[in-house]
Amino acid sequence: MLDKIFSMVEYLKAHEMVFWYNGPVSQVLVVEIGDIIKKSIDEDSDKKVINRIFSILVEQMQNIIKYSVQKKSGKEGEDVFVLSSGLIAVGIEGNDFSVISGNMICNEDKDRISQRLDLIISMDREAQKEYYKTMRRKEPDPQSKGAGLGFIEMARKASKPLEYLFTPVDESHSFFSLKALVSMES
Amino acid sequence: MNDLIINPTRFTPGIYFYFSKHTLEISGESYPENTSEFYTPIFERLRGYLAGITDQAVSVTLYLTYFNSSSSKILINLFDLLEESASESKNITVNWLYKEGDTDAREFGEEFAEDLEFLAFKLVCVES
Repeated sequence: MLDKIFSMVEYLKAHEMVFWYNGPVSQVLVVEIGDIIKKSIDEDSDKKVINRIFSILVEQMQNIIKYSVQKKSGKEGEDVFVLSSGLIAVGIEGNDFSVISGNMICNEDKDRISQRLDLIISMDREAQKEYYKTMRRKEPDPQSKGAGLGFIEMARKASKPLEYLFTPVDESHSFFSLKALVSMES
Repeated sequence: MNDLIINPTRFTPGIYFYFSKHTLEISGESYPENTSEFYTPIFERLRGYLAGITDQAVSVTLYLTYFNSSSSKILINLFDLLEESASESKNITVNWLYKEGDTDAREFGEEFAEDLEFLAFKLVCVES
């Protein structure tokens, strides 16, 4: 393993990753990562751009806290699932910052997530604004543990449509990857 | 009624409800993991206060440099509550403060204002 560390760092650098975290996510970590990002992104960057990145990161991390399941080996070698673990990354893609999250989800949640994301992705700015305002007044659906506004908030802060992907893990779980691009120029 | 003062933390705003002076202020950042846990007791006090006032001029100041999406939902609930009092001819003014140049924060204020009818909602630019 030790001999792979350097190549891992080189790999991330080659992909212009500014920040990378994989592991348990808690509210305290949300605050700390927010601070690190605010400091580590070029000081010349527009304050508004940093705020948008921060805003997307908070929504992504709080989604991980609420919805992620993570597989772990239990005492008897059986698989157990614990909550609130995932990946958070910030990188550079051309003239954009990419804000990425990844976490394990149960397959039964796949449809709900993709339906909501597809709807948001299909909307123009004005439709997104109306949707945001409508959702803000609505009671969240029963499976949603938050306000149900996370994805639409991210979409409105992003400068390009959100992108997502499900990678099958086993018969009941998938890995959910989500990317938001934030233009370096506000 | 006693004033309600709660100091800010790294992810919850300061609450400065001077009921005796009819000036209420929420300022700082708001992104707690559980927004209702933080705001429910505050709303309860506010409801009690609003029920007890008549025609006094009440000033409500919001100066939030960042809030997450579930706090946004809390804010609309807050404005609905104030709107209800305003519709009963209570004299309430909301001041939405945003930093000069922060167009995103200004837009948030504008979007809240669009959803309100009776409540006086002022956008106030704070020079940096």
